[in-house]
Order: sequence, then C-alpha cells, then structure tokens
Amino acid sequence: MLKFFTSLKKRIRLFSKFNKHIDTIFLDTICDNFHTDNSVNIILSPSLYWIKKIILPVKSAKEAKPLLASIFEDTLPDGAYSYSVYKNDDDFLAFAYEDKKILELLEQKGIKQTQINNIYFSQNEFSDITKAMKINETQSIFVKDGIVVLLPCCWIKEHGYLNLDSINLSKKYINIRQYSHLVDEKSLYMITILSVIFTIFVASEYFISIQNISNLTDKKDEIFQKYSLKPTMMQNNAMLKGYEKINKQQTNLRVDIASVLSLNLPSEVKLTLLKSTNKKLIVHFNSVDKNSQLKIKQQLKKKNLIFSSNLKNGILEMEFRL
Amino acid sequence: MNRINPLHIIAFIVVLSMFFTFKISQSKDELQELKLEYKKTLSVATKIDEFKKSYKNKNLVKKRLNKILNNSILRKSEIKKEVKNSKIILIASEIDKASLNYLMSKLLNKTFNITKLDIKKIDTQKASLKLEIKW
Repeated sequence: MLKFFTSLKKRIRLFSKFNKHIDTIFLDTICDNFHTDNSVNIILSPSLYWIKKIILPVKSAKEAKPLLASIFEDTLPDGAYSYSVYKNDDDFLAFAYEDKKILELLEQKGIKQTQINNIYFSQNEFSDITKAMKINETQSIFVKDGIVVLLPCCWIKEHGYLNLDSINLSKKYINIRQYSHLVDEKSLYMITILSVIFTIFVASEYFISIQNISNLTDKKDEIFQKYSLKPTMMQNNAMLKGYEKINKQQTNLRVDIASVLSLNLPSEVKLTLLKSTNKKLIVHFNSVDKNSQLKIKQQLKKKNLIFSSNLKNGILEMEFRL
Repeated sequence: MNRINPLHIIAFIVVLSMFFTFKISQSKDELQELKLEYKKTLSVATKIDEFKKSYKNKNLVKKRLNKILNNSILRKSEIKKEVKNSKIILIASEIDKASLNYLMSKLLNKTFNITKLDIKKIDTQKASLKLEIKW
C-alpha cells in the first residue's frame, strides 16, 4: 500500500513538473506573504524544525527512522511531530517537525496545499554555504559545526543574500501530512487497509448477489421453457385458475356421486337417473314418499352436501351444484 | 508534498463501501423478491404441468381410456367411442350392471375431465350410458 502511494505520488509529481512552472520559496515564521499561483518548492527555515546530529548503531536511515521518536522524546515541547532522518557520513541527521504548524504557516503566507510541490530542510539545501545568508531584515542562516542555524543579523557583520532562483535542490524532501496530529501514519495505513478489505468484502458480496440474481433469472427462464408456460405470469395464473376450477368440479362430481351411491335407501327406492352437465349433477330416485325423502335428505346433509330437491309423483329430483 | 492524502483515499473507500452496501441492500431485496417469484413460478408451473398431464394430455387420456375399454368385462357392452377434436364421447345404449360398475369405478378413480354424464336405468340389470371426456 505504501509503495503504491509513493509510486502514485511520484508519477503525479513528475506529471506536474512537466506541466507547471515551479517556484522555490524560503519559509520562515517571519517572512512576507507569497503571491504566486505556481507550484512551489519550499525550503523550511531552521525555526520550523528540530535537528540532531547523532551516531546510531544502525547502518541505514530506514533502520534509524523507528528510533527517532525516542531520540527526540526529551527534547521536544508538546506537539504532534513527524520525523525524518538522513545518513551523513558516519552519523545521522535526524529531523522533527510539526506538519500542522508548517501547513498553517503556509496557509497564512498565501500558499495553498495544492500548490506545494516538495518541502526541503534548510539543512540539506544550505549546508555548503560559506558565509551567513540574510533571510529577512532581522535574521540570517549560518552553518555552524555542519548544522544550519538561524541567527539574528546583528550577530554577524558580513552576510550574503539567498538566491533561490539558481539553487539546485537535493533529493531529500519530506511529505507533510495534513492530519498527522490526529492519526499517525501507521494507523492511517492500517485504517486504509481495513477499509480496502471491507470494501472488497462488500463489493464481492454485491457481485455474488448480482450473480445469484442472474442465476435465479436464468433458472426462472428455464422453468418457462421446461413447462412451456405462457410469456406472462398473469396468463399462467389465469391458466392455473382454469385448471383448478376443472379440478374442483371433477372432485365435487366424484364426491357427490360417491355420496349418492353410498346412500342407505329404503328397499322400494331405486336410483333411476344420474346426469351431470353444466356444473351440476342431477339425480332421480323413484318410488319415494315423504318419509323416504326426509331420510335421504338427512343422510346427504350429514355429508355437508349442498343440494336442492323436489318430490313429484313419487320421483325425487335432486340437484347438486358442482 | 503528498498530494494524494491517505485520508482522501479512506474517504473515497468509505464512500465506495457505502455505495456497495447500498447496492447490496438493493440487490438483496431484489434477490429476495426474485426467490419468492421463482418459488411461485415453480409452484404454478408444476401445478399446471400436473393438471395438463391429468386433464389435457390427449394421448394419455386416449391411452388410459383404451386400456379400460379393452377390458374383457366391457367387450360385451358394445360401448361406442366417438373421438372428436378436443373430446371423446362414450355411448352405450344398453350396459349391464357389472360393466357399468366397472367402467364408472375406473373412470371416477382416474383424473378424466368428465364434462357430461348421463346414466339412465332401463331395468334392474341394465342402463343406458352417455359420457363425454374433454382434454
């Protein structure tokens, strides 16, 4: 992840270098506002960082970096510091700086964050100056024991002036992080990684869900083909309703016939007609008197059948609705 | 300067995950709806299929009916069979009690769509029959 950001950042920087004119400015708490719309390389005044020249039992700056917080622990006032370290012959030059403080100062001086190209330490850019260089009306920078320091102008009689137009900047620049005072870099990357993992999880869940929808749609289409269904469910439901109606009528027909045939009839009563048409079943019994009619009706009512009956000349006409 | 702030990337990722979360809830609702629809379609399809096989399969109806009519009990009853486009009519001017019982028990115990039935008693042993089966 770190490599990705760094690579992306380098590419963007390279791209912007080809497209924009880049000014170089010297940033100090005592300096005039800058009036430029161009990108800027910023050289930090010694007043904006802490420096220590130290000998460490490690070989590279990378190995030294994790030790910086403890190295500066007793020196720095309260604040949220970022650290940087460069190897310098046999020793190391360790830097501590406050991202928020630098960004706020840049904003005060009229430099937007989007204008910032790279940020450098005076230590790395002016370590080879041979005499004091005036940076404003009251202050100069000067190299003492290999360290670039800030001095009042009145302390030194001879001084030159900084010429930033012709300066060849080193490759030792730093990245200022806007929210470093809120969250440290490690946590930031951890949060990023967790967020990415969560997003991948959520995204895969989404794509699985989409895939399931697609599969189910295919299966649904297969059902239509397999069972030769009509194109719309409205048509199919109507068709099913029709079949259910037929099924109900056929079931009722069978139940009614079974009930009629299982009647306990008086010996003189005979079934003479069994006719089904137009959603009804008509049944005739002959030699039926009032008493027999009552018995037949009672038996059918016990079976919860809905019917009408009419006794005429000894013939009992019964009608069942299917 | 770090132009691409990791916090911006986190914000972008959070927005992205919110977008996917929203889309998931949408797609899950859609999936749920589709599952219900699928179950309903399958249920309707199988029911229609069963009903079609039971009542609307011309060949099956004919086959089953022929099997019943070819039984030796019914041969003597001389049951006439009229096959039309969407129906079959069975007519017997005289059918004895045993044959009628056999025929009706077979027809009523199978899923024939009997649309017309007319059984009239001729005497104690015989009856006339007219029966229509549709598909």
